[in-house]
Amino acid sequence: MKSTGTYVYCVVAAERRPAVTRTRGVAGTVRLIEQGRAAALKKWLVVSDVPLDRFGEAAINAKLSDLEWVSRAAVAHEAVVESFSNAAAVVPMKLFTIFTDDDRATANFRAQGEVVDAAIKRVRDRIELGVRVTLDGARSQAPPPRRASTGAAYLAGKKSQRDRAVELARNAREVVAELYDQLSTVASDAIRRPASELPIKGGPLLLDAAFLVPRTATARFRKVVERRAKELEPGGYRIALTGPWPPYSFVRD
Amino acid sequence: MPRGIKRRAVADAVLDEPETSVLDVLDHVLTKGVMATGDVTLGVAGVDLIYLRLSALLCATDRVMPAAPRRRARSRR
Repeated sequence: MKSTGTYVYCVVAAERRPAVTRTRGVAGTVRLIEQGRAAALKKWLVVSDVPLDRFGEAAINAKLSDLEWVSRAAVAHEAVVESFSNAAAVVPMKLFTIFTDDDRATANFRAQGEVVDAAIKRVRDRIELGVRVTLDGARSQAPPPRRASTGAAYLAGKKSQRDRAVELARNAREVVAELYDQLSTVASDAIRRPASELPIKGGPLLLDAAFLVPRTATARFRKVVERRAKELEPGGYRIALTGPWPPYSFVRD
Repeated sequence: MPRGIKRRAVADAVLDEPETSVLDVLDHVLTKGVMATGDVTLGVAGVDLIYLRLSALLCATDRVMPAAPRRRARSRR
């Protein structure tokens, strides 16, 4: 019985065969399988052979609760994908995309040729940047009501505290919507994720967005983020920028 | 280029949160990316569930992952 499967990291498109600079993958040695053309570019699958006793379906399912194991696999996967970031286009796969052999992997991608080619076209010469905005709890919280001498004063204090919280929330929504729109104008595409999915230190997450940015506009994008971060900082807003990432968020329709 | 130093000087406003780096990687490789469902891993169910569980363990993640210095350097750029 065959003991290895073909692990697919990404599809890479370039004018010339890219060098494999990161040879160690999740397991096995990273190599390329040529896949024909997408417009003027050639395409390759970036793969490695992984032992199925460790990366078969049952083996993976059994290991999913092992945080360290999954994290190492994720970091290794990402490192391989990133190692091709100088290519014209990289279309990253999800973690643990594994086929029985090279032929099955190739057949799968051939069947999805149009989808892959559309993704290549969309992300060509672009990178992904992530922007998160959190509200610094200490700075933004309404002050506690002053010690009230009468019941009425106490209630008034409570009301003003509540009004202030409502006002802050409304402001925050406007601020992040404006920021998102402004950054979108520098980007080719943008996706805003429902906040709250990620546990974030330091206050409520107001914005969790990904931007597909042309390489030529990356510096400008960063400048805008920095400028806005400085402007918003006194109001308790904190802006975190991550990346550049392979365009993970923009390869699906 | 001394990225880290320069970025620090710009302002604390553009926050670098190295402790989220591994979670960021997990977030990307588990919940995003394409499309192909490998025939070997067709039955690796609940990738989203793994992600939720992992994100709940964020702090532990970074302690077990000394192997991500690259991401840290890059997120400071």
